[in-house]
Amino acid sequence: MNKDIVLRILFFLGLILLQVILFSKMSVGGYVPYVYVLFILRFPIRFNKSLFLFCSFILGLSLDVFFNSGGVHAAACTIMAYFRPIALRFSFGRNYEHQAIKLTKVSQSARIAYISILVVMHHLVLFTLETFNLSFFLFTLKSVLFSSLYTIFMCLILVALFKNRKE
Amino acid sequence: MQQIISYLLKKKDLLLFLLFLGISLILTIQSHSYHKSKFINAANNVTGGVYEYANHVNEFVHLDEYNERLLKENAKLRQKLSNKMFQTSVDFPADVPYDLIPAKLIQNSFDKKENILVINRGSKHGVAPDMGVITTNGIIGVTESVGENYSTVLSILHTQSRINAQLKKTNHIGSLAWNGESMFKIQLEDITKVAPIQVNDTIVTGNYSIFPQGIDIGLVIKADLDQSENFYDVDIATFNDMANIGYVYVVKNKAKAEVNALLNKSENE
Repeated sequence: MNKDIVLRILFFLGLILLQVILFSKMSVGGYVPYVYVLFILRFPIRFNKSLFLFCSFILGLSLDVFFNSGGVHAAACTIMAYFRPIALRFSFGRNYEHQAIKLTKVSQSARIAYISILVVMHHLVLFTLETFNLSFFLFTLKSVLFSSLYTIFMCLILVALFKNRKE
Repeated sequence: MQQIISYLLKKKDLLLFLLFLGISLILTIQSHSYHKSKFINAANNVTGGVYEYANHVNEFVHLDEYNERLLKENAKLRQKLSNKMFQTSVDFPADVPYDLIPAKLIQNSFDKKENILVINRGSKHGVAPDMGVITTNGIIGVTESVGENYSTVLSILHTQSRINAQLKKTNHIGSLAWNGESMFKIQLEDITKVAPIQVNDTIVTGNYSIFPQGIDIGLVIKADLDQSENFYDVDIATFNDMANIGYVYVVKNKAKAEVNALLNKSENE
């Protein structure tokens, strides 16, 4: 149990550093993958929900400090964490709480659905708050679409990498 | 009472969610409404340290290019020096009240609507808010929050950035702004229709700005009259490649304190 918590904290810090140093520089056509959402995607399902919300909020806030963006990442992460049960129910069925779901062990389609719903939700909040101007609405939607695709792609690759290592 | 507490406990996740959302929305609105009041910014030692460390690797890749730029600058300075030595009649102001503080850009940003950069010089080195940041090629932005060792810079690629600019050949002034559409196109507003502006004209910083007059900004790539036909809509391509900046200079106006004091004095009277 203790080892699990230490690993999760390392994962948390590692993702922030990787996002800032590596993933933010990997922009393709001006779109950046926000891979740090993996922390929220991979968070254990049967866990104290308040603590989960708190961790997600702090994760977002840390990135806001790095990106000078006010509170947009914090807002996006908080919303993503709070509405995660909806994505879980949709992707893995109504009684997901009673199964031991691991992202590496579910079917490919369920995994893609789960990741896509949450990433699009996150990016929608993120870019809307970041532009903060309805006259850029189409621009925002375009950014959400392309950035989401990029993030989903990167997340799927990383999940697959974790899988290879464990088996 | 007990019922209220048990109700609150039952709804604690929702309350926490609303609390966190509220905090982040307040921070967001604050950062959009007045960008200087931000108290969460990257001009602190933790984030600055991480960026500086990451920049070491990045810098290594661009070393050739930076070298070349420095060589060019050297050549330019040498030329100026020899001009000055041989032509004593050149009308150069005797004491320019500006100091240059060399700095390194450790975090670049150009793909957002509101781009903020980080440099590795802060109050310890004499940087203060509202100082101009330039390179050999032209202007970059204006310092915003200043920490002890690091500062953030409001890029010219920021929708709230306004910089005084003018035509190099005729001194018609305008205001440099960015509409957020393309990092290769910056807009120049309020150029009157009497100005003889043409494509490929050079735009430089104006007289009443935090920059010294005549620092390069860019070339005009489009100049059309606007709907009211009183002003030009001008697009400018910057001389700087905003995606690849490297080393910069912070311009410190030595006379600023004195001028501000005078202005305050005349306002109070």
